Amino acid sequence: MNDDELEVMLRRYTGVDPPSSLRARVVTARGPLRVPLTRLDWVLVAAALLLTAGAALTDPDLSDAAVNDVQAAWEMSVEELAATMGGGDEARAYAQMVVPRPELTPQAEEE
Amino acid sequence: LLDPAEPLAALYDEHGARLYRYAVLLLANREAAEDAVQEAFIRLAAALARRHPPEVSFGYLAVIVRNECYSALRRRKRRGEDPGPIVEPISPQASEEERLIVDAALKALSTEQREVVYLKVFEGLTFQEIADRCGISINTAASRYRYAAAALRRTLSGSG
Repeated sequence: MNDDELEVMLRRYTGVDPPSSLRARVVTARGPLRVPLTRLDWVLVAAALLLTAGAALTDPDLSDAAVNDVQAAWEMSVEELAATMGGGDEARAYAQMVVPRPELTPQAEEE
Repeated sequence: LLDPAEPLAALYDEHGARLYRYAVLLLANREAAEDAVQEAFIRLAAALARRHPPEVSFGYLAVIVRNECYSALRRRKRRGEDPGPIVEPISPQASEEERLIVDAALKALSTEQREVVYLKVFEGLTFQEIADRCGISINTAASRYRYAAAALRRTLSGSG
């Protein structure tokens, strides 16, 4: 069998056709779409988080329970931001840097 | 907001079957090829949702599908999946017995050799076009085809 005969034989065949169900999978499936945030988006996110944390820190009636709430809110903000970036340790570490950490304990003790 | 469904459907209707056949020949597995094509379109949907969507040609999609296939192949090495039939007859001269032999002979090739055979014989690409698609030199494309053809001849002659 030479090269020409081989190609003639192979050309009697083609790759199999896709099942009809694949079109629906392709068209309807979006997957975990994540549109990348622009620099402006990040600035706005950081500003909103700063305002939230600042408001909590300057609250004169901040109780121990509220301190815990603020800490929990900070952790939640970190988790949400990390999830927005796709999750994982790297995203979480970055989120911890971006979201201002509330330093509540000394302030609560002074009061 | 751009709804990704409409361009995805149009692009699938235009290129989907060709992309799938490419994926099947690369992966030698129909189910994995479906997954690869779907993943490729998910990536495409993400690209379309960005502010500057790319020009979408068959070549662009083929590169995405190819990347998905090679990722799947790396994963499969750890799982050891069983491939299904990858070619079907399009000529009245083909027989079921011959199809089985051709199918097995193609599967026995390395992925890189099978890809070159597919692109040259089934897609009708030149060695230069194959080289561009696969990111290899034209000499590498030609030599891969030469080795693949020799292996196929051995298998198919021995079976005949």
